[in-house]
Amino acid sequence: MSHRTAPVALRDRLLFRDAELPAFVEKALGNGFASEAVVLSTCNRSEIYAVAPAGADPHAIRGALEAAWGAVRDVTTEELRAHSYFHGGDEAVRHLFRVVGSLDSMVLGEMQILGQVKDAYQAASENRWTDFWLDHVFQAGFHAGKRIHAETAIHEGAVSVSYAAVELARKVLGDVAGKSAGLVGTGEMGELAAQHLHRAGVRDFRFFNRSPASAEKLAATFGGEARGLDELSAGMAECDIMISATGATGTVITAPMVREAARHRRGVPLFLIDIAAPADIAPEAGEVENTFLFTLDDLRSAVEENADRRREAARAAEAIVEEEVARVSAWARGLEAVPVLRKLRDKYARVAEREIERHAAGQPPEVRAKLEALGRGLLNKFLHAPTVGLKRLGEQGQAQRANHYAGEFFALDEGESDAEG
Amino acid sequence: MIPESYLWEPVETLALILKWLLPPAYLAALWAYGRAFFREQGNGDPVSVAKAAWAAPLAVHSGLLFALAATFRRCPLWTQGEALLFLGWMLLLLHVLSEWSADTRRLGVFTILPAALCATFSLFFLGRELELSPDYRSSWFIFHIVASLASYAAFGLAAVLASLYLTQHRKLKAKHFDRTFRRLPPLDRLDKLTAVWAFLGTLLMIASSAIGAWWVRRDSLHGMTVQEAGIFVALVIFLGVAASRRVLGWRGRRHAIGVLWGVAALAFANLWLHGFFRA
Repeated sequence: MSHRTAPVALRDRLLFRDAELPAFVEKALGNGFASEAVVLSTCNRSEIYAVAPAGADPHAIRGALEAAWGAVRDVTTEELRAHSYFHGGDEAVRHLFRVVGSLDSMVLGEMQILGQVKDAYQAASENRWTDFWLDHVFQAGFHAGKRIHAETAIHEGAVSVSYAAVELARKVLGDVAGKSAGLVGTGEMGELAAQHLHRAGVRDFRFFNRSPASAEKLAATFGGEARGLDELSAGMAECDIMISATGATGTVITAPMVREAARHRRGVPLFLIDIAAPADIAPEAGEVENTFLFTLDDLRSAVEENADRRREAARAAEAIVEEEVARVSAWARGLEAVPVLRKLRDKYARVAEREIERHAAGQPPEVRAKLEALGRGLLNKFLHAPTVGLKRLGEQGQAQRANHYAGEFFALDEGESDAEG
Repeated sequence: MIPESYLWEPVETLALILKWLLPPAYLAALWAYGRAFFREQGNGDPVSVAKAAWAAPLAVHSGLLFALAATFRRCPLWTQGEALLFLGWMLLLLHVLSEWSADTRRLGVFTILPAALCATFSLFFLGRELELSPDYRSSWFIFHIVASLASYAAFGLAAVLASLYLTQHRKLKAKHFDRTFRRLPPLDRLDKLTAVWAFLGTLLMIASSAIGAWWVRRDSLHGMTVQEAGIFVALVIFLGVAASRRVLGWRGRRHAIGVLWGVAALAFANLWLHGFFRA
């Protein structure tokens, strides 16, 4: 289940915790519900990627896994079924690749999911819950994810207002780590912006507020100093980034205040963000030399443009997913030729062995070694073309027909005497 | 007896080959840098394609200068075409330095462009160029002109960066967050890079002027020519730009405009006023 199918309360309830994961997966593998499994559990999705044992009905296995999972969390199978989804074959591969490429994420193009899927796969691999199939499919998924991130702009541009403010600050000031920031007002939006700045490396904060108590609280959380609004005019000259988010009805930062701050800053750029409604900063402040003012509307329009661009990039990403799914699908179809290839090789290897034995009898060891090398060489050369042909036909979805004709041409179901000619 | 002109001259042949290889080498570099800047999505990582895109033009350009020097057995600076070729080479060297110091390949398409233009334009000049007056053919001339061309290259690079600063500044003020805005480096970095190259150009021009002044005085060559007066005006502008940045805090837009005025004065002095070379 994911954010697309289940409400957050149910997702939280059914979230797999690290401690209970081994018991659940090992029980599923032990009971024969699956031969391989990877469990991906994040705040937006809980998914089980499993390989059904040979001959098993995947739908029955889905029911068994749902029942086992529901029992752990005390959720009925019906409730779980109503909010979960099931994909098999190519659809399952496509879903994994879309998840890895963050095409199925709540925020299109977010970067964390690739790491989360890698962690889930690594945990499964370390516990030996994966093998031939899931190893290949997950590696192909990581390759698809890497391609999407390298070849498309899906992760570019901020898609939240407060992060867009930080991104714009970077466009003016370069690396914001080590810069000083001033925050006017201590509301939720301002705090969020401070959080983003703190995450970007800003450690030198000045919190300006009418009530000193809430400013001191923020100063304690993010570091820096708490100051009264009366110190704003002088304090602004010390800040590279000023964010204003008060609930005031009038102008808090006027153009003369900014002009004075710019004069003290001697040309060092001042980045002003006004995320208050109504606006705190006079629009004329943006006209002061080396001062850059952005309002809530500017940030919203930047976010919308970024979201549009991500949606456009998603189309290119979907095409990459389809290419990679087709590649995995061809690989899987090619595997259908493997039993016949093995039979073919075994049969002719035995023939070669027998012939070598016949001619090497009574010969010195070096002659035997030469005959063995000759036999191996001829075997590889003779079987090269049929091997490639069978694999190719398998990848094209004609494995059954190809296997049938190979069996007929090479008499694979008959004794070895035929091959001797 | 075979006439001497029929004999194969390997160095001259090499120079000829390199001469024709120069434009394609620059074109290839421009293509790689252009991909890194303009391409948003598609096959391959465009930035990694631009890695060391300067290597081919640098090899061909350096090779051509050495081949010309070996052919004429002198420093290839005595004709206008050679001077332009050398200026292109200096611009390319500074482009490599700028790429390394700016730590981005996104600027490559703009910073390698002046080098490509100089190099290509010089090829049309080579062979039917204005020559240096014999009075000036001295080793002092080489010191003077190398410092002078290095300063022109630094100013050229500063002008490109100043133009990019003004473009980015305009986009920020107009809140026009298009692809060019997203691809260009931050304003502060562009401003600092412009200032560094303009300051370096000013120092080199002071050095060049000092060498030139000492040389013409020693050899009693001439008084100040009109062209030299024009170049001196450009130098005064650059000194003013550097001083106002330091003293008055004229950074960013004002500094970029100042640099462009200085480069315009320099271009005017070199293109329209009479100088060393004669028809």
